[in-house]
Amino acid sequence: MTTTLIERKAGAAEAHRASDTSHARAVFTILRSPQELYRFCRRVENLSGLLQGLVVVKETSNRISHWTLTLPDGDRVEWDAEITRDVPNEAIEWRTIHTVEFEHRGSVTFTPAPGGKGTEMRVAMEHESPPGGVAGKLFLKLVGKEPQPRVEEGLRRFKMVMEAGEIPTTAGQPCGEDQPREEP
Amino acid sequence: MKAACWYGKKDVRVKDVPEPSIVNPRDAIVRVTSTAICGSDLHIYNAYIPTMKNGDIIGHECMGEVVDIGPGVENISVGDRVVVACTIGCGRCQYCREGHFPLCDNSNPAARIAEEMNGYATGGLFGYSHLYGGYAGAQAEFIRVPFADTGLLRVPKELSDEELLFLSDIFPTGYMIADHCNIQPGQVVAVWGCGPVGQFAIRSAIMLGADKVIAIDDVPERLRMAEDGGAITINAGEDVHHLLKELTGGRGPDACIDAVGMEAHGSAYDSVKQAMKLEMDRLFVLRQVLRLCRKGGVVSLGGVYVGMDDKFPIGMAFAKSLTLRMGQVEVQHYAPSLLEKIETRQFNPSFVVTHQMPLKDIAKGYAMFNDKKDGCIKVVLKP
Repeated sequence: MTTTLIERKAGAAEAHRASDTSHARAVFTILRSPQELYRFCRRVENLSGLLQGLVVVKETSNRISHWTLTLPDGDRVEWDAEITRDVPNEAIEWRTIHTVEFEHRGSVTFTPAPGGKGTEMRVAMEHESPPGGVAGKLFLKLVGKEPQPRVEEGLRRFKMVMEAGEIPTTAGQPCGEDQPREEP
Repeated sequence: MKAACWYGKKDVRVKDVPEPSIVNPRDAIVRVTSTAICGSDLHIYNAYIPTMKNGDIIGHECMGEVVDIGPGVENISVGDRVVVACTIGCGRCQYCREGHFPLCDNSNPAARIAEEMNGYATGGLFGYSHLYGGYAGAQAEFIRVPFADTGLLRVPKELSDEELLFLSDIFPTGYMIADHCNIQPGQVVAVWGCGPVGQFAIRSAIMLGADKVIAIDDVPERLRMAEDGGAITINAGEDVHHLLKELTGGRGPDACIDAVGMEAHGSAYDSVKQAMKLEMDRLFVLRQVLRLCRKGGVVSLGGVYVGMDDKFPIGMAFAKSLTLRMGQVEVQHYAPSLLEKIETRQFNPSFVVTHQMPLKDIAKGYAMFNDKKDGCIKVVLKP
């Protein structure tokens, strides 16, 4: 199923919006320096492939990037992100522009961990409540009713890539029975 | 390929399944030349391990030859003869760097489930349930080894499989639980359970300088093997407390190793509770170990425990200022120095093998090992 932008906007306009925004936070300590992590994140295209589903990030300018997420069922969500605050080696903040179904703001901070244990990396995100209609359904598929687990698992995958160089998986491994595939 | 798959309580079947292939850059594929049944596999066999699924390939002890490697593996080549560490560690996180490979932050695809259960996620294990990542196991013709640059130990061609295979788990396990005892000159170590891990713990405690090792079990051939390894033995049916006092001048053992774990025999109370799923482990031996350890001593757990259990005598441990040590084996940390002991002929682990059979007969092997029939202590399988 693919939808046009007009259809999505219409769905959103009809929708009843609850007043709340949802908050999600995650923190992991990553055995890399704040500089390394900041530099990796600041080159936003590096984040391609890190979220659940297939994400492709294209930098359109120094501060604006275009994100395309293809969900496992083939549905696609696109948005632009604009960096609103940029403190080298310490923090990056962003907000979305030109999006209906995935409107959010976020921040990431890099703090040296005590004892030379790398960096405490914190991500905070605020999502607008899901819109209605088609856009709302896409939002739910993308972040779920509770964004918290998705944000935590996203940052966990980031840590795995930064430390181990890959994300562990059992995808496609043999077994004696057709077992339901687990979501990565 | 042929692989041993789990289908429920006492139901292990050899099935034809697809061969594994490289998925991640740091993977390797190993053609298994020898694999073995571990005492901890019996907990799966007897359906005490949660989060198993029908058809899971089980087993975690194996060695063989590298037949394929991913582009990210630099220290191993196709054709290398290797032992596979049963615990999966990325080798690069804080825990792995400190040698605590089973606590790896990055090797468990099911980290979220593990975190919900234990507060923080531990690393992956081969063939040991989906809580440990659901990795396909070692009782198969081929195995995919993630983080192969960390998990494979290259071994020389001159030594036999039987001398090397147990570097994958039970030799490092026995050595680690003895190491955890922090043995000082003149000390006495008591080992409960003379299965394969107990046998290695006995010999390791002697290597680490124990003045005396006392072994406790009720299976005659296992007690004989313990004596061959240098232990003084006590039959578990005797008055163990009294005999330990006799052997230690009334002080009690300085360190006590529980190499039995969750399926201890001897207590109807625990058996009934475990059967009714009111309790996940049978703590009979652990309670005895805590009671008979000397004041200020060390209790080291090598047998596997999985659950949340009551009737755990924390008061005894508190009153006597005991130190408790435990944990999954740190194979990658211990195996290189243990390989050196094998290569220099200081130690030969093959003494523990009592049975060898083709992989296709593994169901027979499981039943024999589980029932301790035919003098069975360790079964090695050839795929």
